[in-house]
Amino acid sequence: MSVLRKKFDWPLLVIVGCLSLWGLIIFYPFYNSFLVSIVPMEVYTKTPFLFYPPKLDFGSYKFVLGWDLLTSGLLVTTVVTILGTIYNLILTVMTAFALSKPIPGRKFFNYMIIFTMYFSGGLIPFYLIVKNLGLKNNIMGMVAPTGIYIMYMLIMRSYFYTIPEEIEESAKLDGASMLRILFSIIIPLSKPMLATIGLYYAVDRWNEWWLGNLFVTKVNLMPLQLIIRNMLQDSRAMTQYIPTSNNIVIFPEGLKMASIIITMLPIVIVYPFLQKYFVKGLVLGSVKG
Amino acid sequence: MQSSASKSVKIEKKYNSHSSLYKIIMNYKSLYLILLPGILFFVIFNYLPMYGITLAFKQYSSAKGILGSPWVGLDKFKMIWEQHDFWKAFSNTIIIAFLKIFFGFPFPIIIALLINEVRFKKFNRIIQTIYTFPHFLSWVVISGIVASLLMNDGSVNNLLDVLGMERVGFMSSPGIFRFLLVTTEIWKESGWTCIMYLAAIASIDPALYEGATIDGANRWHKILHITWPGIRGLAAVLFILAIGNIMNTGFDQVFNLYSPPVYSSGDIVDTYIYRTSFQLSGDFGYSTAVGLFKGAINCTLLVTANSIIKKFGNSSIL
Repeated sequence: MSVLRKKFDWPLLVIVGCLSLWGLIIFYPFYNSFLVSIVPMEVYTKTPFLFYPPKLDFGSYKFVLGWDLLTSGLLVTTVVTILGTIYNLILTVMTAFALSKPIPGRKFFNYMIIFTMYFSGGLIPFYLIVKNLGLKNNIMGMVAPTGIYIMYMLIMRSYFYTIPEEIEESAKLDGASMLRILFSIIIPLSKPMLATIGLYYAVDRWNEWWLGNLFVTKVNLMPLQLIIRNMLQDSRAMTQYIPTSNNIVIFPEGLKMASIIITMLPIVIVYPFLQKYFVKGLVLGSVKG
Repeated sequence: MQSSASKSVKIEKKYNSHSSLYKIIMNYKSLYLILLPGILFFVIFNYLPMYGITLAFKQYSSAKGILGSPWVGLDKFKMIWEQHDFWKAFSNTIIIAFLKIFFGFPFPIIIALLINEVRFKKFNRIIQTIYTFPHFLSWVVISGIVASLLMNDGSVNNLLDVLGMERVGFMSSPGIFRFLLVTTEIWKESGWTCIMYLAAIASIDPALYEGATIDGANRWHKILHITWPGIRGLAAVLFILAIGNIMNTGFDQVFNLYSPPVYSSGDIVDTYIYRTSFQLSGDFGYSTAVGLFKGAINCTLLVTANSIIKKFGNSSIL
């Protein structure tokens, strides 16, 4: 018996080629930034387009890591990320849990929350409220106003729907209060989902600069992303912040790129390992809406 | 009277016309307590600011505060009507949103369809990791990376210079800026949307594909008649959500990428509000009025979009 000989799959080759090309297009800008951050200034000014680093120079990193605003920004952002994620998770879990139960007035609360997705008082009133709460120039000013992201709460709520009632009922028979049930039973059962949503919140907090921009004027209280933003927007401002001594040549592009790489680093490290959690949350979310 | 044992076993609608409100609340006391912090959050940061809407009808002075500032009726809204800059921002918002939908909507679908054709798992996993990565970075970081390549003395322009071509103002020329916004948006987000489509494709019954192969269908037939119907529903929902979000089209992105030379084509309503609030005259009454106007349009779009989703038979967010 002769075996049918398959024609060479040309379309597949084209497809793989296109996908790889797009992958390169996504990858290259990061690679470029990385290269700029590790070459000395002369190489950058002489070579228009970098494909590989002809000479290595980690001076940009040394400088940036010694820059007090960057280290304060890192610290602030880390604190905000940790505090914020805990705060977000607690608020979201409690709200999602309560709303997954048939309490009277549930419809009202649901509408009330969803309504805020459609309509808000606007930027100025929000700004005035936060200011009047005394949250200006305050760590909590960057944590409190972003308590619950409604989409995440909805995902959690639909997850809580899937937990069987019998578990709660037997706990109640044993005399447990709702709060006890929540913390001792529901939460341990929801660990993967909590990890996913927690990750989402953590990434959001890490990337947060808007609240800092609105409410923080003290430079050593600014989050990392805000410092980076100010650095990128205004090179002149950057030279104001950075103390220069006479024998150090400022290579602005290199410093900018080094700062950006440092800012990206946590996400770069975490993402490949935790990718499945990120994707899981997305699947849960897209099933819902 | 029900015994307390059965009261605590089941939570169900137990109230009737004989129960007082107090009794109802006491029954569910612990759940209400659990719900309380979340509701407080929404009240403080979402509902309290709604009182500030009155600013749209006042001439705000920080010395007098919101309550003390004098009423000016519809003056601020009349101002909107006359402000050329606002209408520029408004039309930009709509144009940019449509460009993003026109180019950016099909893109993840096509990518997902392509990825689905490739059976090498390792390749797919690497590709997906690369594609989805930019989604998790902030526009601050990405604008820095983009600027390094595309600014007037950035890498790409240096290369053009060396090749003897003219430098292109990717980020500074109004004509190009809109396409920069569209392209960077696709670059950043299409991978993430693509994963949603891939998840939908994964839920299509493989037997359909096998049957089609037996019947002699080629790759194109399969895409058209099996894969596409499988993701059509998701595409519809995402499309309508995109339409509903037109007014919100990417403050973060524009704010980090724009600069005065490109205000004419790149300024959107949200960046306009920000500038008039904090950078220019600081007329809080005016910018609140603008925000209100935008909110009204946004509301209409979203409600319309939501009711269309309902007609399609999918569960709405409400």
